[in-house]
Amino acid sequence: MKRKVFLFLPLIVLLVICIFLIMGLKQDPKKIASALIGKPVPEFFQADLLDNNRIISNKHLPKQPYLLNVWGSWCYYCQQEHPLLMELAEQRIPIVGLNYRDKKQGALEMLAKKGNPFALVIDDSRGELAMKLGVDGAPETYVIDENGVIRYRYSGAVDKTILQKEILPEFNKLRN
Amino acid sequence: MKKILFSILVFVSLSLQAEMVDTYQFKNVEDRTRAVALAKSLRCPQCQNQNLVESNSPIAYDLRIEVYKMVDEGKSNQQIVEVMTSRFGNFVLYKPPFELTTALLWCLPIGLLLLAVLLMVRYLRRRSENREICTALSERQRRELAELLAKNKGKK
Repeated sequence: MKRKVFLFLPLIVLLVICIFLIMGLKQDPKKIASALIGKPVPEFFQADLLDNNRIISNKHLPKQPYLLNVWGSWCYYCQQEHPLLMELAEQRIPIVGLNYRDKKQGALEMLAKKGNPFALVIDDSRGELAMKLGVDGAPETYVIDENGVIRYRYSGAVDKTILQKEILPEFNKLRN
Repeated sequence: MKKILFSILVFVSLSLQAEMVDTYQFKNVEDRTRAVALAKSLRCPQCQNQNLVESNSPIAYDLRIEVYKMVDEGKSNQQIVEVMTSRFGNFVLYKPPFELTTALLWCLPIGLLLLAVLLMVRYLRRRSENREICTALSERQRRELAELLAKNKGKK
């Protein structure tokens, strides 16, 4: 009996490895948790998209839990999730926009046409803050607490399900 | 003739590789070599299967320049890698550090090798044991053999 088990050992090991590999394949590489979770928003001094003469820094960020949305007018999925952001803004959830690698004119046009859900829009046309944040593409949505500490990141377009299942629970945890 | 020429061209082209060249002014050649080697060892967070030097994406360009700048400032490789991992996590490393989550990755090859050696040793030991048993004749076999030989002699 013992010998038989030993005989099948390579097969068992191989199967276990296969299970791990298949698990790895099913993992969405876009969902790697941010390395900045639990860390404060990096220090920055950048222009306000709506008023380029004004410099925004960490001081200007909301003093309550808020969402940070990385977007660009060039980005198809950002346009898709935009109505959802508008809804959130109507519910008085503060959203800070990070206009990522965008042309100013295009960004302003999109806000004028589709509405501006953002309490504050940071002009990040050169991707400086995005680089410090570890952004790997737009859209991305962060949940940040009242002390400016990043608590959660979602990489990709937010839809209703993700909002209800992932983002709002994280956000409400901070509000209570 | 054409064939030969073609195969020579193919052979030559194998050794050629295009490489991203950025117009970045380094203080010296050593810095350049170190910076490029370091950028090559870091994975582009957007394109996943290219390193910072291979990738054309704007983020890879920015990160590459960032690496070059840090090299220029005289930061050590370890410091630069730390800056990168503090932003993008271990994802940017082709060679992940040994941690609980990567233990399987590191230990599996060694484990499999040990297992293979173990199985091999067991197999060989058993085989040599078997051979000993085979070569040593039992008392009965020896008697039978002697009888057979004696018979054979008689026939001749």
